[in-house]
Amino acid sequence: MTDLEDILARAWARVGGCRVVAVAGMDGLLIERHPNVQDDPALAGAPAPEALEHVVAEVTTLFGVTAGAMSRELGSPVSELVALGETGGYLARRVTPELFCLFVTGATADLANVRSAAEELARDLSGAFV
Amino acid sequence: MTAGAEEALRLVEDARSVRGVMAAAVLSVDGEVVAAAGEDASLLEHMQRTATSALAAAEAFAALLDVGSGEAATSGNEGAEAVPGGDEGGAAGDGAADVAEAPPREAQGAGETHLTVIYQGGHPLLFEPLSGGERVVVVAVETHADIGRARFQLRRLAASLGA
Repeated sequence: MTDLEDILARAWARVGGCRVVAVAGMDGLLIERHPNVQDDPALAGAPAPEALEHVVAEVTTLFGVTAGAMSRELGSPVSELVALGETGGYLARRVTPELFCLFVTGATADLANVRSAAEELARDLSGAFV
Repeated sequence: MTAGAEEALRLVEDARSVRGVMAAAVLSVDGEVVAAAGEDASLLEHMQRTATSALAAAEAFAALLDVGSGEAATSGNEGAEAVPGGDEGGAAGDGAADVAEAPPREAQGAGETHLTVIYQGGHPLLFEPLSGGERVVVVAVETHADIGRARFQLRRLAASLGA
């Protein structure tokens, strides 16, 4: 297991109801995820690889969209995106201008906890790789 | 074994340890293999052939760009003829560009390096130029889903060598 996988595994364990945690590039390419389907087939609650790739690509687009008028109006770049539905949600946080992390959660996840974990994960990733 | 060859061998082994990487090689910009590792000999051979073609195509692209910017007008015709050659080797991806970016050459005058991804019918190939512009690390990954991870780790490995 690489450092990156270790860091993601720790973040995943910190968030109850987390289906998957991932790190991706701002060009829309998934870099790493945890759990990885190949690691443990029993973790069937995690999105399929293809589905997560599409989610990552769409989140990248959203970061791009929010970098315009929304960021100008805020006075600072949008660094965190939250999307919620009845069965769960997504939280994405920028790590660097080139990287972001993504939590995919079920309905039972506590959003405050997810945000806190995302902040910690971003810090860990920054410290380890930037 | 020279220090450069040892370093290349270490880089290849490190690259091979990344999940999804099936084979790795360090090549000179002339296509000569400095170090290589992979379980599938035919894949390694395919990588080398493709890399040699791609590097030649990159050279041609660079010349073409130079012509476009009026810096090397004498290379124009050669470059124009060589560009299609970069597609040889069974490129049959899923509609993505066969050669996304050309590895940097000193002749281009740019200090920044870029990764090249070449989609082939089988395993995607990724290129990462190393510092100095004289060598390139090439890896073959199992599926397109491994590209992001391999690219990220390759950049780290290249950076650790001072790229």
